[in-house]
Amino acid sequence: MRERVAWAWRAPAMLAIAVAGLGSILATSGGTTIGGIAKPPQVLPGYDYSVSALAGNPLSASVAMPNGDTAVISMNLSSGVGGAVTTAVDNNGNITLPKRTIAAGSGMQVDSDAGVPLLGPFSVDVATDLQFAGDDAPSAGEVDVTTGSDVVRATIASAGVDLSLNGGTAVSFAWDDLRHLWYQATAPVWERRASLGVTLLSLVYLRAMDSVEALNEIADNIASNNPVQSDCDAFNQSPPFGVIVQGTSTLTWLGSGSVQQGDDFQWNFVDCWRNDPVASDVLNSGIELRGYTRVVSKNEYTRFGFEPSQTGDGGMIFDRLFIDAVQKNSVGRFVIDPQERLALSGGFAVVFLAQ
Amino acid sequence: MLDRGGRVEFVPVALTHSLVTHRVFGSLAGSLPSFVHVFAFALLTAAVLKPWPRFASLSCLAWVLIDVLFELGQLHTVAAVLAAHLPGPGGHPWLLAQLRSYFVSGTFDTLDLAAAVAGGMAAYCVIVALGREADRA
Repeated sequence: MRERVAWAWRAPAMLAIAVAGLGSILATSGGTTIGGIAKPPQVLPGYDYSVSALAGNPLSASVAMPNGDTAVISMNLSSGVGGAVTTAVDNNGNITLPKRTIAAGSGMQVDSDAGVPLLGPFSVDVATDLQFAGDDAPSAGEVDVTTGSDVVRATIASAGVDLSLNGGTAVSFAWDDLRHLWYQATAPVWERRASLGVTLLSLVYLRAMDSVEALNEIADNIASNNPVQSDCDAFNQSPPFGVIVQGTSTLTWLGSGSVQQGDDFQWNFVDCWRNDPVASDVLNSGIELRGYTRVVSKNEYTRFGFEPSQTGDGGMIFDRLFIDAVQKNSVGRFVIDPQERLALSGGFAVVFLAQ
Repeated sequence: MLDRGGRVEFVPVALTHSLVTHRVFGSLAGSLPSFVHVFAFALLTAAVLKPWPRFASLSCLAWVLIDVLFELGQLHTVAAVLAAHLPGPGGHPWLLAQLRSYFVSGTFDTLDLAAAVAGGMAAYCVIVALGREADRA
């Protein structure tokens, strides 16, 4: 009888302790980067990133000329494009990049005459770090676009970009206007060349940063939710002709079991608008993401991205990814100029490394 | 919690993220929760079962076992099997979806196993010491 009385309050107390004990384990298990009592790998506050050329798969862009010819622009990334990012983790456990740079020394060799003559060969070199806050256009930095003995310096200014040929008087452009200058036949060639150089550098940078979005999807249990379809940005007014209001991207894991190092993914886009201040683009077609890399050391992510390994190829491979630049016309409507459509082929490796 | 970052149920995100770059417990931060969890709940259980001292060691053993099993569930091969039988993110019931997230998102760590065992042993030592003190009184 005495034991029964003792249990009268102890039984619910034991139950409460059991619930609290198990609940406290599970309470930390929500989200994608969270573990319970066991630690999940931690995302470090910052990483360096590196974009490098793929042997046998050089990066190029093609553009249809008004006369029906196709211009091919080859991009040699042998000198590499890289920089640093800071990271944050949002409420859904996704990694975001609040601050980013393209480091001085980054660059590429461009031959815009690989198909029909366009703007000749030139090099694009980051002279001082290009600094970005989130998805915004750069806030500081300098880029040199060099052809023979001519050097065009593009300096990021508060209102846009100043272009100066061989140290001469600077010509100012809004960031968005500069981007659309390269295909305007009436503009001076040196300005168009600078525009194309900065545009191509931005394009490589943006696609490299896009890889983080795919990495977030992969970390978010793609093994049990394959494929993952996401909505792209929606036009808040009539979209450009031929483009739907809100497109989609679909990431498909090409593996089985559980996601492993070296796995491949296919990332397809249908009228996917990226309403970024750096470049407002609509993407169509796809990207192969090969050679998934994720290294955890001392329970911290120390290396992640897509790169070749000793046993297989890897990187971001573009299957003629169509990039249409979106702009607003004089009456404020979204438009796309078909002449500005770039089709990206080839690829590069992209990895984020612990600093 | 302060040293891990990420999302913890019922705790403001700002709190778990604000100190993510400042490790309060240094290198112990990773496995300390495993130790504290077993230690605290073993003592709580033993306190409730005080009239039956023979259960004290069992309560320590039980909590070590629970934490070890949860840890082993995060082994890659075990987690894959468990994940196939539990509802995915956002699924129902919530508890099972949460359980799945725990196993799939967590990382197995032998140091956590050691910390859980150490937590149980420490709790047992405290219980024995307090028992002797009570006997002397």
